[in-house]
Amino acid sequence: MKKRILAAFLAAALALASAGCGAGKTETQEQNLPWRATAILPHSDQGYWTKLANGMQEEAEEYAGLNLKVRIPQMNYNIDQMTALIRQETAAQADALLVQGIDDEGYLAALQEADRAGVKVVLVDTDVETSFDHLYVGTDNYAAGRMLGQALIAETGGEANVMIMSGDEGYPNLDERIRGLRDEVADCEGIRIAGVKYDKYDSLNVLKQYQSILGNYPLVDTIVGVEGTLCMALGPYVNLEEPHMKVVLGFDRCTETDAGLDRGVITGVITQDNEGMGRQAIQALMQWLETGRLEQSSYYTATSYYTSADYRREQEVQAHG
Amino acid sequence: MAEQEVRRRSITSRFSIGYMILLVLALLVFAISLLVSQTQYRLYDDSLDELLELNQLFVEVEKTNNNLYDYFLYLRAASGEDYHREADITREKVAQLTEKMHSSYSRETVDLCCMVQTYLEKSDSLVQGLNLYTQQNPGSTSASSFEDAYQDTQRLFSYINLSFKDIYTVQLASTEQMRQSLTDLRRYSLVLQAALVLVALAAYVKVYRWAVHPITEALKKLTDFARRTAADREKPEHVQLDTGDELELFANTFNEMVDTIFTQMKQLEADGQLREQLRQAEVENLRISAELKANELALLQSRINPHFLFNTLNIITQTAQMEDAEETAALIEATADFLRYNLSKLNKVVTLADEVENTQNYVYIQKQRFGDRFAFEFEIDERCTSITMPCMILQPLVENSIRHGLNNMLRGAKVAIRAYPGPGGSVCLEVWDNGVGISAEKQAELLRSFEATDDSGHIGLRNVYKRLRLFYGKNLRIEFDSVPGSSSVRFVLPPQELALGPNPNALPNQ
Repeated sequence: MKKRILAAFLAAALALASAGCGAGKTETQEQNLPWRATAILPHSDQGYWTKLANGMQEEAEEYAGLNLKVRIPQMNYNIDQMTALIRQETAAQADALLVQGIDDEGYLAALQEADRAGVKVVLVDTDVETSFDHLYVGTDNYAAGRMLGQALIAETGGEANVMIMSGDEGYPNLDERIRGLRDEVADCEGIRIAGVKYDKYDSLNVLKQYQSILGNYPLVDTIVGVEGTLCMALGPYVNLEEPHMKVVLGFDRCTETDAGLDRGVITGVITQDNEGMGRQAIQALMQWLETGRLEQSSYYTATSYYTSADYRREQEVQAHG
Repeated sequence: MAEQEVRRRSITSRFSIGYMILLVLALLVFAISLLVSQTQYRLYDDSLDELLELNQLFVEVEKTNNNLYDYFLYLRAASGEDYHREADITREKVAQLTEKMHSSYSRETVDLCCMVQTYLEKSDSLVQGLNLYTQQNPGSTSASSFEDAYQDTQRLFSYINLSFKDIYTVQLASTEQMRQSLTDLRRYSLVLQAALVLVALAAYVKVYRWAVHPITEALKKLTDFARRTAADREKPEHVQLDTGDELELFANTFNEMVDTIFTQMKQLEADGQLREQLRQAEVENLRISAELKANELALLQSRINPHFLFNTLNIITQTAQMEDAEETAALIEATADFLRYNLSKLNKVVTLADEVENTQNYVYIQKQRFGDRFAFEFEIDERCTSITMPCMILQPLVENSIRHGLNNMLRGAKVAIRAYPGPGGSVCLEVWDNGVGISAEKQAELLRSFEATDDSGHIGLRNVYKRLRLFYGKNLRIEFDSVPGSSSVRFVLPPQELALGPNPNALPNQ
């Protein structure tokens, strides 16, 4: 009995020690040094995430009491590496973490551990359910999915055979967009969704998948991408002289997507305010850090539908001064 | 105002300001070089210090972790103590580094320190648990919780390791950035220094043009002016300087001095010309005077000759009537000699010997005329016979004695003709007679007649006096020594050079 009591005591002591300084003040607070926030982003893409990171850094420069560090795993979208980075930052007693919400057990456990260590967790771009209080800043992905559905109906006249291309599995934001899309077109009988393609997409993979759909799904005349890689890959490379999709809808703008909009390969995209998302994340975090209270758990940033016609009109306006 | 201007723009002030500007620029270049080098050294030192401190921290963390490992693995009490000692040192290092973050913030270093603190908290907890475990009843309970805790510390240690690597990477990047910054700084410094050197050069040129050039130009002008002044007889144009300094003052003074010199030179030239004119006028005057004297002498002689010749011819006539032809012949010869002397030497200088000989001819002629009525005696000092004088001096004096002193004496009349050295080298010519003498009034009248210009009588004596005066000048003296029965007229000639040896002009025997 005595041994059991001792073992229990030791276990409790170790558990308490494992909790770190979550119950007390952080090192930053004790030393009166700037808040230390770390953004762990899935990859550096010279596009979506880069713009988001720029927005964060520009906004962070507005606050003298905040130091923002941006970390990216060596391998793109490598959840294990991102998890390790979360643990490192927790060990470093960072004051806040800004990460994408990913529905991965180890990933979420690391975030929970960070929360227990007193680290404030901000999810950007993608929200997930957690057992601890966190802040979400980003697109309302379900609403964005519905907006995409509305565009689909408008662009196809409510008559289309649609293939949805998502990203790798485990990203709730993509699932939310698909859910929104499905809900929006549910009442439109002319819209028939042939299926959803999941993969860890890069441009080569997208082009391969595109050709595969053209070959294997002759009735499919519309492709809807729920993340940015689809339009980025198709924009410059689809040959309009050859068989191609009637309507291509996707997410986010970049140079390659704009080329597709200009050529008419891309019908339209849902644009997200990446930089605004980054700025808003920092603003909300600072409020949380300074007040110690989480006044609002979600901040949705703006989205809009941008078409090929919009792009051409803009170009014409710019050309005429 | 002008002096103030000169002071303001004086050579001293120009050079002082110029050197001050160049000195300031040189100091600026030096200060910038010093600042840049000091900044470089400081940045290098700071960077090196930070790396060294981080390295020391890492060494201490490794030592701590080694002791933790040893204690966890073998439960050696010594390792536990070593752990505590190293952990304390590590904590101290962390505290030192964290303290520095206030002045030199580094996110990576703060993260690392916090990470080490997390590690120490976990490892302390583990060691504490192990201590309790060993003190209670080792081996009686499961050690799996210690295993988990140890793995946790090793995970943290690996993060620390990674963090160190990250920091080194960042530091290297930072050092590279700093090196680039220092290179840029050096480049900017060089550009700045080069610019300053250019500014210094420009300032030097400006100072040269402002301070040195005006002086050298002014000195060149002054030198040219001095050379022209020395070389040309004509007054050169004024040297014009507008430097506003001492040299302008000097040039103005120089101009005034040259003006003064040339004015004085002109005056001297005018004086010289005037003196030359005066000299020429004097020469002309002398020439005219000499000509006048010659004319006057000729006139006097011409006035004598007819008169004498008339008398002589009368005598010849009377002699020829009273005596035979031999006597007449002698008389004519004497007369001829007398006339020849007068005619040939009228305008010539003769010796006293010539005069005595001519007077002897006259005496001979007079003796032939008056017989023994007059006795003539010549007392001529041999030393005086060579002195020179105009002709026809003694004869008129003898004639005057005969005509005025002895004319009433029918017998016993004597005439003495004397020449002898006088006092002070002078020579005395004297004609003495024992006639009636010359009264004082007569003497005064005679003396007055010597200065008269008209022919108011006493022609013979006045004629002699004037000719001697012309010949000897104002030092000639005439003396009368006269009482009844002894009267003499004496001319005292100025000092003459007398013959010392045998005289070639010795008189023939009388």
